[in-house]
Amino acid sequence: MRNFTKDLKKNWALWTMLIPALLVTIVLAYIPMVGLILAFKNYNFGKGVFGSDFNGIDNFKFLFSSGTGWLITKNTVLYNVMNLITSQALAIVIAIFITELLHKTYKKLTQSIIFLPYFISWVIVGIFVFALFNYETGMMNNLIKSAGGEPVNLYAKPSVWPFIICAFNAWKWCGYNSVIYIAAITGVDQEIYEAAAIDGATIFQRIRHITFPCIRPTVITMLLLQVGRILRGDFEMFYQIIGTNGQLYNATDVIDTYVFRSLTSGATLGMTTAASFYQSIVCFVVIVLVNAIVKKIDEDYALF
Amino acid sequence: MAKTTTAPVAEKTKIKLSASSLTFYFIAYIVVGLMALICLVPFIVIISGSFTSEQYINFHGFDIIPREFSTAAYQLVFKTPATIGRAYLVSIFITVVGTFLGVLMTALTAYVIARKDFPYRNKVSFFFYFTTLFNGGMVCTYIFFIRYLHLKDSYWALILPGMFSVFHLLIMRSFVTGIPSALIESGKIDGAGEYKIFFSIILPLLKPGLATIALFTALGYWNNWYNAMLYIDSTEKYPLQYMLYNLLQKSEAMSRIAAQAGIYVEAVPSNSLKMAMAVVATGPILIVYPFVQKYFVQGITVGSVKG
Amino acid sequence: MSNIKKAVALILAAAMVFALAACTGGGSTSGTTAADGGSTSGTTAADGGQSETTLDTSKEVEIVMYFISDRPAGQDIVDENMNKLFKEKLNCTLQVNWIPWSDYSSTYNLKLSSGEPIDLIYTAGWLGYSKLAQQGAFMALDDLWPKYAPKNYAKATDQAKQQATVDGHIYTIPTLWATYISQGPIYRTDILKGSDLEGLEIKTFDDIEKYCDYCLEKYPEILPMDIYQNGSAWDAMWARQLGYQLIGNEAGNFYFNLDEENPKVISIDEIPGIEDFLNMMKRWNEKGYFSKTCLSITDSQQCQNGKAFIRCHNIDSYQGLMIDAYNKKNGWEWAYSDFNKYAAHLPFTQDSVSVSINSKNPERALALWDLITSDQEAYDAFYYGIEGTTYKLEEDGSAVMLDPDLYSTSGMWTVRTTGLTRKTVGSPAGWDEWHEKWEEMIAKDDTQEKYSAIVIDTTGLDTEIANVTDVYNKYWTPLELALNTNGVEGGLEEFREQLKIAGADKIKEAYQKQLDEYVANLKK
Repeated sequence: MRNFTKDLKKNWALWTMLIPALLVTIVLAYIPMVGLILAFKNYNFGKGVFGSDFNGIDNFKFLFSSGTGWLITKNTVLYNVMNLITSQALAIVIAIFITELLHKTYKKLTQSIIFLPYFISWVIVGIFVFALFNYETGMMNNLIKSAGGEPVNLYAKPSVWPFIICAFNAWKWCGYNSVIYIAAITGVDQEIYEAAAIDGATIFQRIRHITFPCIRPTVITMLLLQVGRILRGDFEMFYQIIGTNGQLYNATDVIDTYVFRSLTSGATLGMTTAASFYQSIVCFVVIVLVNAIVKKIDEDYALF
Repeated sequence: MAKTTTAPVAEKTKIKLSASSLTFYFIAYIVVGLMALICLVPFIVIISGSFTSEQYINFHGFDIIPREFSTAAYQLVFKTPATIGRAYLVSIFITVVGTFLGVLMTALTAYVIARKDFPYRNKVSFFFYFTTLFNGGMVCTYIFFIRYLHLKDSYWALILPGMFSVFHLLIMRSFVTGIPSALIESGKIDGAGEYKIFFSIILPLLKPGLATIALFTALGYWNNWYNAMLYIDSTEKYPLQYMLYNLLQKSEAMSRIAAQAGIYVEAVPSNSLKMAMAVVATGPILIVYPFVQKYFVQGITVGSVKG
Repeated sequence: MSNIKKAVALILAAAMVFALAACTGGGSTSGTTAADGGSTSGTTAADGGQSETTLDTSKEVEIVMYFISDRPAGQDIVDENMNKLFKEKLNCTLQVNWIPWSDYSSTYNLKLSSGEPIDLIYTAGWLGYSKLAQQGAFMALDDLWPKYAPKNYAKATDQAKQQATVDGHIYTIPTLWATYISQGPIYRTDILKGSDLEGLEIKTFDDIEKYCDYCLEKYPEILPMDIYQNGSAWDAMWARQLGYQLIGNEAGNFYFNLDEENPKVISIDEIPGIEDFLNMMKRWNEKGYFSKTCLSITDSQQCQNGKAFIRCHNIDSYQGLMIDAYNKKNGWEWAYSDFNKYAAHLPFTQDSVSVSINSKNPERALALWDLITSDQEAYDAFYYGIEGTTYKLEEDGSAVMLDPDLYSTSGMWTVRTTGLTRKTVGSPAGWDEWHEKWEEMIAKDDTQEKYSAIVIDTTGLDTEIANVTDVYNKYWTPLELALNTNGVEGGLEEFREQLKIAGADKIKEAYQKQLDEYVANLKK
């Protein structure tokens, strides 16, 4: 505590810089956190959040009683890992390519265009997915049929859906994520590049020895941030692409979609809070572990 | 201090293009071009779909050009131009105010937690980061906002929640980390205060980072309808996205109920309406985007490092 | 989105039925003794005039009402008009607040939990009325209702009151509008003209098959059956025509046989002949009656859009299709037939109104509700708006809405009252007959009606119901439409296995106990 007051005196200017953010975070995030208590309560409208009775861990049971809890946990983690790798890799490749392009107009134009999918809501993506893959009139089957092949019913093949979802996810976020990397690359001192060019470095050498190291902090930050969301699924994406098609649930159910469905079939407030509490705890454990490992390797890259 | 180079390195060294470079450019142009194509075609389909009659979409699906031209979807969106105009203004207002405050706050905070000589940087980072893992859930946040902060039907209910994001903070921090700490030291030696260092040395160098975060924050505000759904009651305070969202959901529900209730309502062009909504909501952003873009396309040089 | 669909489907089930005398058939109420003794304590129908004097209207108050709908453009003038009347009669004004269709599923509960002093709020079985009541969201109305809304109270049937009872107390005022169980095939008949099938009346599943075969032959590019992501309703209809009835507000899809003296609660796969039904569905799938990717179709109006010819739904949907065809003047004709073995009313709590626990003026709110549901002038002002501006009356008293963009009828469905609600232009001709027929059937034979007052308490079953519902979505729906990959036998086996794991037995047991008690009470 004495250290703290000492630091407060020394770095008072820096601390004042933090005030707005600290204030907003306390008010908007920390104070409402008392609501997590609902995970252990049987919510009563008359009695409110604090007056309601405790019911132990009853609210958590619905997640695990039928084995669904493990399935959706597994799915959520696998989807996140897959999506993380594919979307970031694609974004990095595109960012490097775009920054290296020679024609300014082409560069600007492609960069803008690649950003477009971000604006296409998942609702519309859902419409497209169905228009592509439905059995009777889907574009894919029309192509197959016109080539003389047998139409395929992808909706009866749950195993291909992880790839479809992954592809659409990478496509949608490519522009968004690549902005971060493009900004990171353009932030690199151009004179280093010029010096390298004069020294006769090939383009590949340049990317490997200059670009990669320079965007490393950004890549690691992005990975860490995503790892902290390892148990949260992009609800909209899954919901709009899969909808209520029960055939695909086993392959595509994530915690968020499962909880949403439970809500519509009579889960209580306590139960949903319990589910999100479970997600938070697991994410917390994962991120603390990963962060500790990162810290061991290079403290500069750790999140906290 | 910072001088701007207008063209990438390779352009100046064109003469030296080796075989391996040629291969690289060949691949780069093809890959980027293909990716752009995959991103562009769906958008063209959306624009075309928004101008196609619902009947045609129902039976034949989507196409690159409208086969049966119709503006029914836009007529529905712009049925009351004053309302739409108002919604645009609300969206622009909260986006501008929120983005300005948000970016400033994010940059200040990121700067502090990136300072290696700030002993509490890890603890403070964790304090922020923790909120991405745990949150009080919708109910508690709602009750708190309504009962204690009295934010019901207030623009602040739309501005406050999107202002500060830990995701943006940490991205910003990685940009600040890229600035050599020697600059700060030299500022200190010159006798500049912390605020002076931040505003006159750090901020100008942070342009790509600021542009990125500004873009993301603005997009977050622009696309958010959820907070309006929770906190806004008066229709004149609806932001654009919520108005459109409402219109769509309402039309879908109405068209199903209408017939049953014996009210005749023109069949709602639900598919083309969704497409038109995407166009209406995206349009303004696409106009603004090129202005932000210049910060990513042009590189900046940290010339002062080497003096 | 699917929430909204579900809600709409349920609303439609309760929507727009033509005027019929309130259900006073001797048979219909004879068997509705309360399973729980305390439910109707102190609720003798009071005389309207007397108890109204107990209401103190000296202070002007504002009644806050919430319901799920979107604010129409002309609401301001409608408000002004009706509030003039309410002010004069009860010295109060009504402030209507909307929970838009777009987001009721997230905000409905929030509004209740925020502690806002809401006086009247729409509720319904499908919104989780009994669960909300158990969680203390509403005020108990056992004494307030008869005292402050006596006319409404007198009109409500015992059956309705029983359906509104949760844990021995009444927490909601059910609608005064009778609806019926009426699931059956609805099919286009104009396409049959000049063919061998002209004049076909669909009475059996074989007829359906004949009809679809004909459609496929004549219009090969159209899939005849309207089935979309919600799954098909044929299974429930199949069970009903055999005399099986769903129990427990459909939570978990359990059935019992109406013909048994001491009925047993079973799941759908235990209904004798299920294999035959599934084999039939498999044949239908193979013949191409519906899409092989139907569970991802989001278009819920394929019949209306001309993309399908036959669907399984209730009589209200039939009316809807008729009105739609009438308005579009496209020459389409529709027919409907009733496959149910027995007739019965739908629960009156399908649409109802409750008083929030935080209400400041429950007395005046109830008096206002009483006025609106008993006085034609007040009803018209609330439901139709302003004569000459928002609606006009035909000679026969039926109402025509003048400009749906300005104002269509109120979104507060609960208010519809037999006797006050007016006829709609464009309804099918046989409409009244169907309803008369059902009332007659109910009066004659209460096999199903006697069960309609049962309210199943699902306390402590949340987990199992959520799980079982999931198993239905995952295994039953694809199996029923023969979309699964392991055939009828394999699919059934898998479904049964999963039901067991999900805890179906526990639900069955709990339902059985309540059903037994109910049956025992009936016999008394």
